[in-house]
Amino acid sequence: MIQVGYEPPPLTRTPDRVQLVRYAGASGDFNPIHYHDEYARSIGLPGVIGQGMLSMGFAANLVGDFAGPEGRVEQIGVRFTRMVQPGDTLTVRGVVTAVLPDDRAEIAISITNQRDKEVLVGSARVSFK
Amino acid sequence: MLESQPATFKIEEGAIRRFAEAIGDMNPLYHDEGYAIAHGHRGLVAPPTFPIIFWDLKIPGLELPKQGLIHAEESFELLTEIVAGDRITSTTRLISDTVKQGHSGRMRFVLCETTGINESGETAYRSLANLIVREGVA
Repeated sequence: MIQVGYEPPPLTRTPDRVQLVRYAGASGDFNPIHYHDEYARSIGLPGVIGQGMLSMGFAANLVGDFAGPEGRVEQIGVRFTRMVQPGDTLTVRGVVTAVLPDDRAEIAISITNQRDKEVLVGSARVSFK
Repeated sequence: MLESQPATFKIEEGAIRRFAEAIGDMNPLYHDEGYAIAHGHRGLVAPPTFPIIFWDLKIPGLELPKQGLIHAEESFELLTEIVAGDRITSTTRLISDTVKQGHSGRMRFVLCETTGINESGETAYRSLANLIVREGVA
């Protein structure tokens, strides 16, 4: 029985430049800040940065796994709090915050980098059936 | 209300698999149609953030800079499951466009809502994007 406080197994993700390019292709977002170092630096960024939506994909991965093979994700919302650079190691964590009627639950999500700084925070609601 | 030209997309299996691979999500619901159907789904399941590909920021009357646009927040309400083969008609609307004076200069907050309607006329999903434009910062 799922209980408040339950933490699904965390995920570790290490986005590299190839993944950023793959995600750009798959999502249709060709903003050069995600693949062109010189361009990214020319507008004040430290270099190529990861798409916020790629991080949200990592978060949705944890939530989708939590929902199980017969379930589905009903809602997911996040805030992107820090830049992600290729080579970062991200840890995706969740903790159940509410058990809802009709086989549903709410989960708080966070992603931190290798410096233990938060890059994403949010929440989601799943149905297990 | 300012909004984009509605566009209809047929959800393709290849696009779902490519998207799932790109985010590194090997959940068989997004890769194996037989598995998805065996577990009660209508077909190959689109991952929860897949509807991001439908947003359209080309909204007549909305001027957005080519640079300095920060995706600050995103949320999806997935009202029905979206699977390969579905046809989704999607429209992005400008909800608000406000400027606030912050510590590091003027910040412009642009809130856009995208709604996707399926072939049955039901709202399949709603998404809300919060974009920040940092004005006056190099």
